[in-house]
Amino acid sequence: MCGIAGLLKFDGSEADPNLLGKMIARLSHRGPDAHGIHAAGSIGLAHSRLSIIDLQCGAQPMSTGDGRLWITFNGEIFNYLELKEELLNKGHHFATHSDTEVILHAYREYGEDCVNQFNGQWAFGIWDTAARKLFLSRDRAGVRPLFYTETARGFAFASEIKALLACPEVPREVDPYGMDQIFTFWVPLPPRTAFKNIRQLPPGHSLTIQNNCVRVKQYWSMSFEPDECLQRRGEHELADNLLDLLHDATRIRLRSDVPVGAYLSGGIDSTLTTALVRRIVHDRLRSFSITFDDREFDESRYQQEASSFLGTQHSNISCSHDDIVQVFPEVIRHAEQPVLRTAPAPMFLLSRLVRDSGFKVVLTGEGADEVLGGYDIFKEAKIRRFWASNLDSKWRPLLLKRLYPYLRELQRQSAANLKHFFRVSEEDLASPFFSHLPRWELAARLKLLFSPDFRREVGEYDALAELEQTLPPDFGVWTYFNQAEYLEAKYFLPGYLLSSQGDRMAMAHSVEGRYPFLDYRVIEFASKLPVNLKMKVLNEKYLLKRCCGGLVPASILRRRKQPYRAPDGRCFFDAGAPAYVQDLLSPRSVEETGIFDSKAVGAIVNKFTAGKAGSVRDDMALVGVLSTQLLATQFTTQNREQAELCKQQTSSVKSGVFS
Amino acid sequence: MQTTDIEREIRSFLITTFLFGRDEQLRDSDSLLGNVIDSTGALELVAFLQERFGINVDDEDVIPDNFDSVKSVVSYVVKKRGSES
Repeated sequence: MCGIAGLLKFDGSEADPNLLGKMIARLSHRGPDAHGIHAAGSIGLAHSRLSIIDLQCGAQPMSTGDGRLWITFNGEIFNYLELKEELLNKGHHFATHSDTEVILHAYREYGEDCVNQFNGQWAFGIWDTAARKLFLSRDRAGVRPLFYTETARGFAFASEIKALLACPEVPREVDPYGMDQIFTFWVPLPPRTAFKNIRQLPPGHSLTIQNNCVRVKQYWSMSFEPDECLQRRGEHELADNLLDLLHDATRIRLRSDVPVGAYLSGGIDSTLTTALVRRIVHDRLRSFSITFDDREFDESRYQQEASSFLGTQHSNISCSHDDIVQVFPEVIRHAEQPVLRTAPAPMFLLSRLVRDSGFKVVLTGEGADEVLGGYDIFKEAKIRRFWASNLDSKWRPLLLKRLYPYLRELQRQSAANLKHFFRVSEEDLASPFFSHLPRWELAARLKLLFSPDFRREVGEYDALAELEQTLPPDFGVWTYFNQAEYLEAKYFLPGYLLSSQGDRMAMAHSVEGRYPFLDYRVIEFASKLPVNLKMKVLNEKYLLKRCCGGLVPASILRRRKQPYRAPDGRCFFDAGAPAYVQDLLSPRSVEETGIFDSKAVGAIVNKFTAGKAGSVRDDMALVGVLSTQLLATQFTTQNREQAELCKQQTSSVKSGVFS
Repeated sequence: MQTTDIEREIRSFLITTFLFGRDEQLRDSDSLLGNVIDSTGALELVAFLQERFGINVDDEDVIPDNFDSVKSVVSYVVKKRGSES
């Protein structure tokens, strides 16, 4: 795993190696083992390396023997051995054992279509010296990040935004539309980000620049066409097919020249991937997990059960309120976008445990809920439609209460009230976003916190209308269940789970996550399954559970699904919370940043201070405001004094509080 | 306590609790449920009414007839105070 960066000048000037050095230095957490820069005329590529495959010869930027193609690459091509075999048969010669060189030769052989042959998680840039063409690509699911920006003088790309902000001509301003999207969908809609003029290459897309012309192309997307051959197979056979695929997806994800560990959350998905690793690797496996002091969130009992059952050597890190508050500024510096929950913070602590245990690579169960029908939001949408088909039913709305037993507020609601909250009107039923309306509506209420000036900047912008325009043409013919899966896997998965909670938190400590459930063969197989095998009535991940016999303890298979959550807003109001919290929420600081209304923020703060906050809305408001304030102070040109204070506090965290 | 005082306190609670102090967002014509009070908030309103006005809100009373506008909440409180005093 690594950090990448690059510059391509349009104005006849040369790519500055010093600037490339500054850009890549900002990504040294992603690749602490080595740095490399290749600058030649208008093009410059840079790389910071975390050595995982071919430790001796995999240095980057790397070129073909004739010097025609140059690459800077972050990620893994898991099927590189098979691809290399094919390329050898076609007469290619290799100088290293790395997957990086396989990309170069695959590009030479297949051109831009080479990405269709890759099974992996990648972000890379290839410079074709002869064609004077820059080619960028990002993996199908969006595991690895890739940002870019265009200025009058040229084009720049990098693994993280902070490297682009090292370029003096790049503006350091928050994007009002990006913010509007985050405070609706929880994520910006690619290519937008939280920053003006900084774009992300959407998952499954490639970008080429030739003759100063930038072209972006989608090479892959999730699709849900029914497959007759697959529909004819019985459940038993399909479960076998799925398990075989997952086994192979895991097997190729163990390709590494350094040891691979596993996250164990206590749920089905990570237990299954860990069990599959155990079937393949016979050495003692190391596993890692987070435990919470706060029992409401803690899953340690199930983590221990999974570890004992699978015979792993298990380590965990305990996460307190104070831990979350202490690391939160660093978490946002890595996430580079506002978050509405603190859940990334424990993932930051977990990756530190992994690194301190001497590991660079972990397998996790991420992605199973999206592709195999695990989330409550799918179940909720199913129940809402079921209820809407007979709105007078007395018992149908009760299913919603059963779905969220931990939401106490819900339990006392009348059916008539639930109708309002769960959006079951004719108009709602006709919306392509039916499944996600309650969630997005709750988040969008936080926009009431925006200051009058910021609201003016947002103007009449309608994020839902923009999203509707980007839906694929066949979206309307998919089943409702598939539509919900698409929205979740296309936006929330890469925009939040794989980034703010995934890549960024892991790479903060130079740890690479690998996700067997996000092998594109698994995604494509799952997208062809009949939806009633994903969720049978209200039994989530039905087919996946059928694969788990003997691999996952019965207690974990039977337990009620617990969404991963962490203590939120109230953490920041415990006695002894660091000064940055009050400082950034103060009227002076809020007004200086200008995004939120200081009186509105004051109302939230007072509620927490008085111990009267406690709803999901209050938590999201507080975390959303604080993370935005942190982002603005750390990355934009506003609020310099606060940035200095935050920096001092963060460096004190690094230097000892957690050692 | 006058009805106007009750109404003022209820409005103030709704604005502070659900609208982050944005008073222009509370329009008399709007339905409260779904627009002002979200799914997590109805019980906050119930707790407030019980605590502030000393009434007992039964589960079966938490319905749109009583909670869908500022006026209906005020009428409900006035009625309950009358019947419980």
